[in-house]
Amino acid sequence: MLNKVLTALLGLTSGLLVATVFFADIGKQDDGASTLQSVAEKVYVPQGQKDEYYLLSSGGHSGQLFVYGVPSMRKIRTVPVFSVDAATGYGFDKHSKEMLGGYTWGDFHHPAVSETAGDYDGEFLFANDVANNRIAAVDLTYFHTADILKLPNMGGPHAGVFVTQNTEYIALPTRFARPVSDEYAALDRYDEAYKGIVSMVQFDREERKFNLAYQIVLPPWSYDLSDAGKKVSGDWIVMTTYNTEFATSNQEINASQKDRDYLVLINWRKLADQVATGDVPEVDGVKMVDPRDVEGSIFAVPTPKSPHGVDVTPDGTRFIAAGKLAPLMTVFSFQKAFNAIEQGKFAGEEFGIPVIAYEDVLEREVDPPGALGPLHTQFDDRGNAFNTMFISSEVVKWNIDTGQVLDRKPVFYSPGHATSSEGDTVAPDGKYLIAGNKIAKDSFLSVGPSHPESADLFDISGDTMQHLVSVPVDPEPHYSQMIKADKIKTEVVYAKDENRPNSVWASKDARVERKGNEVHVYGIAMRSKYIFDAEAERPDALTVKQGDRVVFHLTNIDLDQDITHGFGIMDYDLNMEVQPGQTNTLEFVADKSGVFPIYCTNFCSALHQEMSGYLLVEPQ
Amino acid sequence: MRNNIAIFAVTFLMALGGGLLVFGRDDTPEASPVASEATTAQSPASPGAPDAGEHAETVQDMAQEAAPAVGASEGSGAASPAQTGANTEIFAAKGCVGCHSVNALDVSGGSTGPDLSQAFVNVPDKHGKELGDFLKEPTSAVMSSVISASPLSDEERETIVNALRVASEQ
Repeated sequence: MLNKVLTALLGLTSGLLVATVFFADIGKQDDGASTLQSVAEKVYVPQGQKDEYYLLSSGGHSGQLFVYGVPSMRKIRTVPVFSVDAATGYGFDKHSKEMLGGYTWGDFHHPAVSETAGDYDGEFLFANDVANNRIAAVDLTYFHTADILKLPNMGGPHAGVFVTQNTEYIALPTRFARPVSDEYAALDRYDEAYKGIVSMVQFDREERKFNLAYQIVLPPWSYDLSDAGKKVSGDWIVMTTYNTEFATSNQEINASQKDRDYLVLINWRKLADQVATGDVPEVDGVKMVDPRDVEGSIFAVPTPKSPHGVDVTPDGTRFIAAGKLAPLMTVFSFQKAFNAIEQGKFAGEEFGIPVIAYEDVLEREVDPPGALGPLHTQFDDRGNAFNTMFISSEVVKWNIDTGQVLDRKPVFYSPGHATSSEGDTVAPDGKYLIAGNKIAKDSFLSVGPSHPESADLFDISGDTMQHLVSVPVDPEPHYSQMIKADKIKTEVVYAKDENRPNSVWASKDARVERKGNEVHVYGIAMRSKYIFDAEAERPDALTVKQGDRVVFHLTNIDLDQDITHGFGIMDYDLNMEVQPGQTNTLEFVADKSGVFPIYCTNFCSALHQEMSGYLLVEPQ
Repeated sequence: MRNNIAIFAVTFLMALGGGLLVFGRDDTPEASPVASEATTAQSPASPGAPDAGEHAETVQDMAQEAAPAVGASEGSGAASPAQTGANTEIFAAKGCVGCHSVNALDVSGGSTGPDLSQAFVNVPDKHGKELGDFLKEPTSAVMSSVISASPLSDEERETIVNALRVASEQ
């Protein structure tokens, strides 16, 4: 009997054990499962609904602007800015070709949305080209590049673009020191012949045009990043420097010798006033002001070591340097700096620039244990800062007032910039944060040796950060702007403007005008045909002579949303697009004789395939 | 001995079954909100616009198929038919709304074809003939096939032209 009871107990125990092993959720956390579910919900935007924020992200050495929706992280559009883009004909049509000025690429690092009273106004986005010394404005009504300005005397405006709080100026400090005026000077003369330059650019929103107001000449340090002050510090710009060692070779080692480099404080309003007096020399037609000649306009503060980012807090009272080679964030007080300046309390001079002692401006150092390579600081709406750590691959959240580290989360991997929602304005939203990562390693399906870059999205609305999703992105994510979607007011059709030069609004008015060896076509595109000459036997065929200069002006008279027409000319290596209601011009010399089909390259309608014509070039 | 084996087998199975009942209950698959939303999203809420096909016939079929499904229009701040006096029922009755909306008259339909709010003005510019003549004898391939499959009477054409004249003046 006892035997049977024992056998029964053994059977029950064994059955229970097997059931437990196979069916119970041992090792799984219920709240983990529900967290995963809510993470999925947080990034899921159903069909028909739209994202809460635009993420306007620099495309690095692609030269272009990438537009994403947050929180879905769906990529919505690539907007060509500094590089030729075949898909949109950017760099082919006359206007964009002239804007690009012969360059085929750019290196776009730092976007800045135009601001009013320190807040994004959503009208324009400014972009820097570190490679070819240019600044661009993207019109956020049309998501088209409106103007590009080439900046003389510069050595790569890496430390731009940052706007003052009412977009009075867009500041672009230079990365490489160079001799001005494109002069030659041997590297042995670096100290005296090379200059660091800051371009101060204005933008006329009505004319949609840049103006290089003035340039600031500085010692040949490398200016890495900068930020404009806000509110109490609204007249100031702060910039980080490295290579105060004046290394001219092997910078990795030689520009990393000193334990401290400098933060430079510049009072842009004093300099603008000086420029307005006219008592400023001109270099190649550009007013160039030396701040050492304008009392109270420039100061230096030592800061640890080869710092990268410097960011002004939303209330404008402090500026925070990220140490890069020093594993800490340094919080400086504007008020302390102002006090030292007022009292004339300086620790000495460097290059004729008054140096304020580190301790006299320092509020606190924040040194999270084991965190390495701090690069950039972003903010939320509750007094917290967020720093990317390149080497330890994480984001650190800490309190600005106390320096207390509140949370640390890994990213995948090696983040450069972070961008929080409206995070560099006077009123951050504190909802999302993106880490723009340089490395993806094994995160995604392999595409061979060149892995994608990536971005991590965090929900930062709680006490701790919640990682939502990691997405692959094209090269290369630097800084971004995350702006509330309703701040951007787009137009989806260009307004019909009968006074617009070269426009034609009725198919019967399409015509060809010949002036010597120039052939001007004033044509229309509509679904699903081109009309170059309404009177011709074949309105969509153009016959020219070899060697003629051909100018196609095309107006898209489909005034409907999303009906963009393309215009590709076979074997002439030409393509452009004409958006609804737009007039666009393609100009070229017909140097090859023969018959060249023309066709719509941008799918427009059921009869898109039939939307075509001919360019006939008679031999000479 | 045989008894013992039987007892072990029975109690083992009882415990195993009991365990499955207790532990397995949580594993009952439930549609997550995400999945169910996704499913909902896939069923079109309105007779939206499928991508334009390569052939006119496709468009025509779409127009005819979609027409009966057109529902109530959304408020868009546009003038109501009562305000304008325009007969907007004709657009649904003749299947126009399979491809077209007329925002100015608060008529919502497909978006494959252009919004017709300014068609009264735009058609002469684009096609070189008045709207009424265009609807009688269209000069675009898509509309040619649509109209030839479903011709409009003189009265219907006049109703459409009048409505779109009103729309263009909004």
